[in-house]
Amino acid sequence: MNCKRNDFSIVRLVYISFLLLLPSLLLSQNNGITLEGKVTDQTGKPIPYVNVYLKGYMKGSMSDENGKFKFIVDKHGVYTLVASHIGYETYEKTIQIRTEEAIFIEITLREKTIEEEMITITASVFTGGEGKGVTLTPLEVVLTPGAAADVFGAIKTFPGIQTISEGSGLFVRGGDVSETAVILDGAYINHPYRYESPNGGYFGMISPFLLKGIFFSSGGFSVEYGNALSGILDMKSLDLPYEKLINIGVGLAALSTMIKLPIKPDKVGISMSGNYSDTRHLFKLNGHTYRFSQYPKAYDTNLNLMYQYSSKGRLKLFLFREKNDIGIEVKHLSEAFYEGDNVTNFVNLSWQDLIASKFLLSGNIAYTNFAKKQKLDAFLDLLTDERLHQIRLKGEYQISNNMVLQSGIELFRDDISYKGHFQFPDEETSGSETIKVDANYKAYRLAFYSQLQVNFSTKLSYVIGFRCECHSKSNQQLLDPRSSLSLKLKNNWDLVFSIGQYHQFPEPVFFDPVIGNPDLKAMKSWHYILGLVHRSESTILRIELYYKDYKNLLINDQKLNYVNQGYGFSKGLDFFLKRDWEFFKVRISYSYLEAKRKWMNAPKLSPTKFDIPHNFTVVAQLNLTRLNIGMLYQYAAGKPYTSEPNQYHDKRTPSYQRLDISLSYLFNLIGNGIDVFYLAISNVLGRENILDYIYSPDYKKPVPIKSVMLRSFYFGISISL
Amino acid sequence: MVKKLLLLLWISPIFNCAIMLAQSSKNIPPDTALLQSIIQLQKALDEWNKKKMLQARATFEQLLAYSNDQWLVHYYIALSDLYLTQYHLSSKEKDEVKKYIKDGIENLERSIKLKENFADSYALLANLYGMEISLSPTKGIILGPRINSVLATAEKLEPNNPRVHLVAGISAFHTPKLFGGGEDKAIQRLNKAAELFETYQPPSPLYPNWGHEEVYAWLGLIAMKQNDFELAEKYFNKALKINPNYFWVKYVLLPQLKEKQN
Repeated sequence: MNCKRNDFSIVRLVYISFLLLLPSLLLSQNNGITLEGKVTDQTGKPIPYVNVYLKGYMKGSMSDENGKFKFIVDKHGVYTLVASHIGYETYEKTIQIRTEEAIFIEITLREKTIEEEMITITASVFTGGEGKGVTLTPLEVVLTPGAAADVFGAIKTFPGIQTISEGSGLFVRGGDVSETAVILDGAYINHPYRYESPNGGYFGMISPFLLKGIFFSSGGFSVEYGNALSGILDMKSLDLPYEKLINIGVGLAALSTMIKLPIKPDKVGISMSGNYSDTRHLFKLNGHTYRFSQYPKAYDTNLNLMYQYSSKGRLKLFLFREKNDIGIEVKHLSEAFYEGDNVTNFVNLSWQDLIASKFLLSGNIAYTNFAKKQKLDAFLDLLTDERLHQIRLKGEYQISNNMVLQSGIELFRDDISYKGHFQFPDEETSGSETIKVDANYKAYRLAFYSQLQVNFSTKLSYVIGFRCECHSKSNQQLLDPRSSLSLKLKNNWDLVFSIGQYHQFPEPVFFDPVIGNPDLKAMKSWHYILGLVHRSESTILRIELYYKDYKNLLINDQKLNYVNQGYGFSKGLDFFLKRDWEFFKVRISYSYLEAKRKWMNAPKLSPTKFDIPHNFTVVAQLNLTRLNIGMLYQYAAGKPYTSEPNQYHDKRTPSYQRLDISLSYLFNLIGNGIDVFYLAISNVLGRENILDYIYSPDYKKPVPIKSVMLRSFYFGISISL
Repeated sequence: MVKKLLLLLWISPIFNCAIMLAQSSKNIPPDTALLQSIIQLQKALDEWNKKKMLQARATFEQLLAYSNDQWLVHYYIALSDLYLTQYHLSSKEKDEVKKYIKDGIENLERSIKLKENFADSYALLANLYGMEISLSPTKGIILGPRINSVLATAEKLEPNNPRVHLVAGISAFHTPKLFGGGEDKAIQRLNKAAELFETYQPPSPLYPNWGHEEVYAWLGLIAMKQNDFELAEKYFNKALKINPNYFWVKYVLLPQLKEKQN
């Protein structure tokens, strides 16, 4: 009776439950499709903890210690399988799941080439600023002892640069100062030195405080740079300021101020600076071995406007004006004073943007006006007025993860006027002959370049490019091929090799039909460079061998004034070691050089005036939080000079040696900024270095050219608000 | 016996429905998946387990193509990177540290691009820059001002976000007094963070809500440095009260304190 009813209920319940169970039973028949596999790197080694998943679905698994992964997919369909892991390129593959069969996939991940390493470790490159392989930042320039906070002074403590004089001129690996191009934000600066002299000048015009980065190459530089036979100094000005900064500096010979203002954070910013320098008190305090009719005096002012209009797009307007004056005695012409007065006005509008996520475009348009007044008693009274216009467009296209194509086009217009007169001793009348000068030269130069960078693997990277150039004065179309290779060896060693052809056109004045030769061609050089670099966390070691072959150099000619029959070579070895400890930094540079040329007024192949066989510098810095002590020791072998009428560069000056010490002390006087007090002692040992010998016309009387100051002191203070 | 059978039969369908739901996990709403991952990350941090941190990070990565709040997912990937950075720093694996810092910064930059007014992204960015400085102290000169600027932006966006003050306090602690930092400034900022944590309510459970215990860990660390061991212990215990599983205080700071007290 009861049992019967209960039995019926149970059956019903079983039946209903079965109905309810049915769908899930059917579904669980389809247990899903197994997706499994193994993840390895390019050498076959398994990679653990790789995130393997289906894009757009919360479905996936992490690979285990053996690189194996496994997960279940519910439905058939087309999916994108993704495998990602930090340090590797993300892997993506479309897969189709159509059957119930388990799918086994083997995934190989490629190591990600870190961007900084992809920017080739080319031969002979030293970069400063943010990034890997930093060897010189603008702050380091300021703290480099003996550099007097001058970019060129600091660059001179690197190998490959010969100490010819105490000026700022860069004589690079047996090349003349005129063979190294100086560039700021893409614009070539033809007169980057103050107080210009045949050896360059004293101090660079651009203060390191205006810069974000400095790229210096002593040879083998890429096709991006042209019209330079020996070296490149490429400077980049500051970016948008992060926060407001006001800096005032007062020193023994200078007054400076800098203001940085972010007007609209990350969008618009402005920085302004002004410098005034007057060396009168400096020379009065330290004494001077030359007399002055005008103590070197200079001022400069700069305005830098930046507009970041999108995340990758920005415009920058850089305005700069500089004026410097000097009146200094010329030792071998008694009672004669050389007076120089230079004014530079420079404006550069530069632009950069990333188009369609693949093309990095940049360009700039610049105008420079350089006016130089030179007077040397009655012998020389000349006004040089140069107007340089330039426009440039450059593009970089990432073809793939391992190939980058770079191309650019640039146009220059150089307009130089000379007005004044020269006076020469006239042998015939034993009086003098005055030549009037009123000339104007214009030259146009158009260049196009292209280069391809290929990373074959994380170990081998190769760059090949060409540069085409044509010049309105010399009837030539030039093609310079250049190539470099970098190979990663074991234990953080890199091998770099560079080969290339370089051209430089003579200055427009040399094409003058009367005093020059209108048929001149470009001078040419081949660079062969082989180097070994070792980088670790705290050490950089670099050894480089180079050979440079010079052809078509200008040489004096009786009939044609100048011809391209000059030639020469320079070869040598550069050694560089940099080591950083927690409180102590040291930098050692040594160069061996042999530089011989038959050019200009050399009668035969002879050592050039910048043939300095041994050049050695040591920079050491001790950092004790607030106190910084720095030392610079320089040694340079003697420089060739001519001692007899029928000789040429037959003797050498004694070696050049100098020890400089600098001290800087950090404190906080007002506001939040860092304030610095600095003291610099130049030529601590008081050595009387002889820089050159100049002879009277009959070669009877040698006049030794010595440093302007013996031991000298400089001090100053810089306040940041 | 029958009753048991009945119970079993009634429960099974419900059971099966649950299995069905679990199997078709692609139907989990994105917000739930995100919340699950956030909890997963916190657990990994408490256990100081690298594999679990990586798993949480992996889930966030999958969420990028799945969630509607990509900016928030990028933030959490960066937060996972922060924890992984701290993990590898403690085991002195410099190369790994660099990779995670770089990845974290990239993700935060993307997050900021997608949502410019999320103060926590800026605070976390400052935190990662700070990690970069502890790896290479010479970068302090460049990154120090950047940290200040990023924190200023964060504070302007959300002056009452406690994590902004927490990161400001950590940064002040690591900056020499000469350059605008120092222990006094750090304590001031950390106290403000502690105060704000008492009343702070995140706009939703998906928004970051970490850091309360960390404030007290840092206050305790500073007190320990100043040899005020009693105060340090008080702070550490407060941290553990908020999160009894807090790895750093439990297994690193407290043992250090005990050693100093003896």
